[in-house]
Amino acid sequence: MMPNPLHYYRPDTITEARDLFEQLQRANQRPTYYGGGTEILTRSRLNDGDFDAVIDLKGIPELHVHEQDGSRLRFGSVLRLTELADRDLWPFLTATVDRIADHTTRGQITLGGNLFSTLPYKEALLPFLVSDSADLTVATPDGVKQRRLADVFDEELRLDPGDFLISVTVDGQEAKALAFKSFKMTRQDWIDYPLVTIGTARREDGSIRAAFSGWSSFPFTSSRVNKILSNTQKPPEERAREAVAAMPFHAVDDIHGSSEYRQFVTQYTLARMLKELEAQS
Amino acid sequence: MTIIGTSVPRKEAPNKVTGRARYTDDINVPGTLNAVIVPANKAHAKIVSMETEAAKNVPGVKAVITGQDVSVLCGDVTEDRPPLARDKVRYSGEPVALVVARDEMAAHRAASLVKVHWQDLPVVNTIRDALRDNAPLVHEKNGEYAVATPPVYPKKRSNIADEANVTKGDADQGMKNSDVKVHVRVSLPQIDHAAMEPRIAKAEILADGRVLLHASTQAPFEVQKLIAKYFKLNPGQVIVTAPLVGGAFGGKAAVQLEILAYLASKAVGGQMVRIVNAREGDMSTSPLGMGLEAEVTLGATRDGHLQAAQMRFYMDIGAYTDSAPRIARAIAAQCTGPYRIANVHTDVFCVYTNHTYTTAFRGFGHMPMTFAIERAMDELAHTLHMDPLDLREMNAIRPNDVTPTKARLTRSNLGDLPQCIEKMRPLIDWNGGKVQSVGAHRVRVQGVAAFWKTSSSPPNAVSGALVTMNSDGSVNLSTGAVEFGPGTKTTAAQILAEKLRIPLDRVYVHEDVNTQVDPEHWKTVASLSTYMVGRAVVDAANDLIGQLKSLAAAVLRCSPDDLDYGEEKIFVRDDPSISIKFSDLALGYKYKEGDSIGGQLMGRGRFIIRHLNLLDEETGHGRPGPAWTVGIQAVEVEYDEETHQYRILKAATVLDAGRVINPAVAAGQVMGGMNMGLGVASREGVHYDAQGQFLNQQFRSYKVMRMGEQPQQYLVEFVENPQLDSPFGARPIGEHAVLAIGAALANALSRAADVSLNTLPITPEQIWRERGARL
Repeated sequence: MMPNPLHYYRPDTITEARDLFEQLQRANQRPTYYGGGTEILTRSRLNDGDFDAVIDLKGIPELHVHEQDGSRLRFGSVLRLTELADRDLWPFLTATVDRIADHTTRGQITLGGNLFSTLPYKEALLPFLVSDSADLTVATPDGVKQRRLADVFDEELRLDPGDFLISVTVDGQEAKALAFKSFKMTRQDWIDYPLVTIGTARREDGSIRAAFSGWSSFPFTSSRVNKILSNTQKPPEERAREAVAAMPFHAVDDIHGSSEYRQFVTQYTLARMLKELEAQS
Repeated sequence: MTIIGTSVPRKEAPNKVTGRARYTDDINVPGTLNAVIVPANKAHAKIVSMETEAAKNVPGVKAVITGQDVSVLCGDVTEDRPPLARDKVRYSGEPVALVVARDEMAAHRAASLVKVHWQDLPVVNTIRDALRDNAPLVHEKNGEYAVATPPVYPKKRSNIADEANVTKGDADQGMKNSDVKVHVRVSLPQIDHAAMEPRIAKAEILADGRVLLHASTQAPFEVQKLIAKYFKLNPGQVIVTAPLVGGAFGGKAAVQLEILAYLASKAVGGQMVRIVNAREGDMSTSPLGMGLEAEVTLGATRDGHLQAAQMRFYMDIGAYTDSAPRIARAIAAQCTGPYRIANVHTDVFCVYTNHTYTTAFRGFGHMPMTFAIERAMDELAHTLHMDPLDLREMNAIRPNDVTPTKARLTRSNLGDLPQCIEKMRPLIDWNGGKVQSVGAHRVRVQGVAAFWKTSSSPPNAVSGALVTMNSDGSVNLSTGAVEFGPGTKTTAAQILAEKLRIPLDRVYVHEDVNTQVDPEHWKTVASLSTYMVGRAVVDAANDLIGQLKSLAAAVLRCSPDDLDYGEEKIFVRDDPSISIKFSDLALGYKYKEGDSIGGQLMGRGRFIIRHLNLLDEETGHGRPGPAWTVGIQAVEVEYDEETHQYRILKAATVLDAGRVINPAVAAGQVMGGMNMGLGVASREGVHYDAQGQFLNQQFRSYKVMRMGEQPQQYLVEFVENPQLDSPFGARPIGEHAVLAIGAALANALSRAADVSLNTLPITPEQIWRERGARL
């Protein structure tokens, strides 16, 4: 039951969508972009959400792109998580998004919806966070712009109000060269929010990077932690222990698990991931 | 006939699987208004003032009702609960106002505009908080409320809503005579019933003064009585219908939304008003299952014979009493579990907190109670280096023993636990509870726990059955038991078909319950429907057979004593060729000449529980139920010593069913029970924050077991030792499979992790914590 009336728009082009947002704002409405709707609908049940108009982006063809575009892998922002997994263009991304929610819900949730979620997790970010080449294609008032993910990401993807994500790309060579592991750890259930989801990648030069979701109220990667993990002189258990001690943020304490337990889980999971990654090479 | 003991599909199954089955919200009357609850967002606070103007101004809003408009106090035992909070709120989620509007959306919008000015009060957030000296009082008037159904012993100027005690023998002396003692403390959170269909009620007040209520309830006759009592109506004026119910688990034995629906209808001139819980409100506003903290001390001889038990149970009943005093007495009466213990002293306390109030939950207190006693039994086995199954078998309570309340046990009123245990050994491939290594850091372990339960029903519980005949000789069966999943109506139909010697498809059941036309059935609770309804059905069948014979005797010109029946005919016993079909008698017999005798034949049957009594205030002695169902449960888990994660490989139950009436449905009921009990033990539980706010009122955060997370194997076996006063010897089995399976899991994991796991739910974090929280 959604107690408040909601205006629904479904533009056909990027320009229409971008203009519509501004028009609605000028008319004193509070628009928001709409992907799969899973969060908007569930939050509305609780009267939680500062919007009275939604702009459904699924009618815009550019947001459905899902291909190897020259040297780059391109993922449209309204692709459903199940579409990403079925096509499996980037197995690292598949492994990560395929553990979000349950299959029915993944058939609704879009890539953009997950990346711009109001929940802390946004697991789809993790593979992009450990890549050097991740770019965002963004609709802005001045037309379609490319932005480096590293320039836009600061605890979350920071776009200007009214701008929206068209697609995310990553260099195909880089993506292919990453040996990866993606583990989601929960309190007890297969289907639950993560205590921690970890995406780890081993690069061609042997260095290791890890990105974390659930540990903090936003996903992150840390150069200090990556440096520790990359020191293959030390056994995985020791690196994992040092990495957990060197995390740049405090672990969250909530109903899913205590801060200390998150540390424990992260530590053994990291150790296991390092072992598996290094056994592969 | 072979209908009893045959697996038959439930009568309502075709409609359920095709989506055609009708539940309360499928009954739609044009023009129905919608009521929405305004829930408190404070756990304990004075209501200084309320602003309802903005809500009243929302287009479509017909009425806004607050606690100031309602003076009645409600309660199953103690009348301590205002339907809408007055003066103060006692839990977060408590209804403070009710908005009635043309449509649900307007009602929701208006509800969000009702403003309450609060003055915060200190929150009683745990049992410990509640029992502290000078603890803030949840109820300043505790001990002064009217009591609807004694007994209840509240303690004034405290948060103790009730206390129940049982004493048998001399527990102190028994402890002195014991070679070993074990002491266990357990802690269990409040839990949600999680029925698929949230609670709902619809009410209208007709111009002639009759009140029509439709509700998803286990207790339509209770709703009728309470609405009549609270609002000074004649019971006959109140007509309650309960269609199919989408799961209940005890949570729908409480009466809450029905009262609000009546108040809402009254506020709008009697129009039909619908009130339905969203999932969030079904969890935080409507009653939960209780939380429990308990301490159990067992004393035994060196060879494992139990000598004494001392126990204290503290129930987190939340903000209002509801059925807690009955549950407290059920716990007291069965506190030893299915064991022979000569010396017992047990105290049970109902403790008010600023948590959502609680009511019956599948097992009626026996599930948390069983967890406590069965953890203690395993600790005892561990201390004595005994096989936990052997210990249980050696101490199993048997005929001629007496229960803690000194009720005498017989071969009929007690199931055979030793026989169940003997059957469990091969079923689970019992290895004595040894920890078996199955790879790096991985072990497999089995755990067991036993249960017993009786009904704890009032000594005057009634049931009835009406059987009418159709022109073709088939019959209609009307009973007062609600159908919420376990096949109650089908079981009743099987009993009738067997008695009338007709095929099951010749029995048409009245699926809904309507208090105006269906005979009264106390409440569809306590696993008693087969016993109580079944007895009434047998009585009705005998009545109908008598009528058939007496009419046939006139037609066939013989004595009714000469007659027998079968294949839908009445025939002369010594010459079956002289016969008459049921169909020729059903609506009266018509002679060739056209003149007729008889009229429609209808069998009526009734039943009232016998020989029960209330427990004595001093000693707690008395007889709490007609019979005790017993059983043993086991699990096999695989546990990772490094991560503390585990998988449940097998879950098994053997129970004494007396006689299995519908094997497939009975096995399903037992598997469902195990699933529910394992869910409770492994992941469920309400979380409150430091201010008493309910934190997980959605299934995304209140975790129940999902498909795919269940054990790889569910194993179910029955033994059959008849309960002689029950139809075909059937024993109650509806609730029982939830009772000990959680304890069996805790027992297995405690062995696996080599640490006592006495706090639910047992998550990997919980095990890690108990093992010292080492990084």
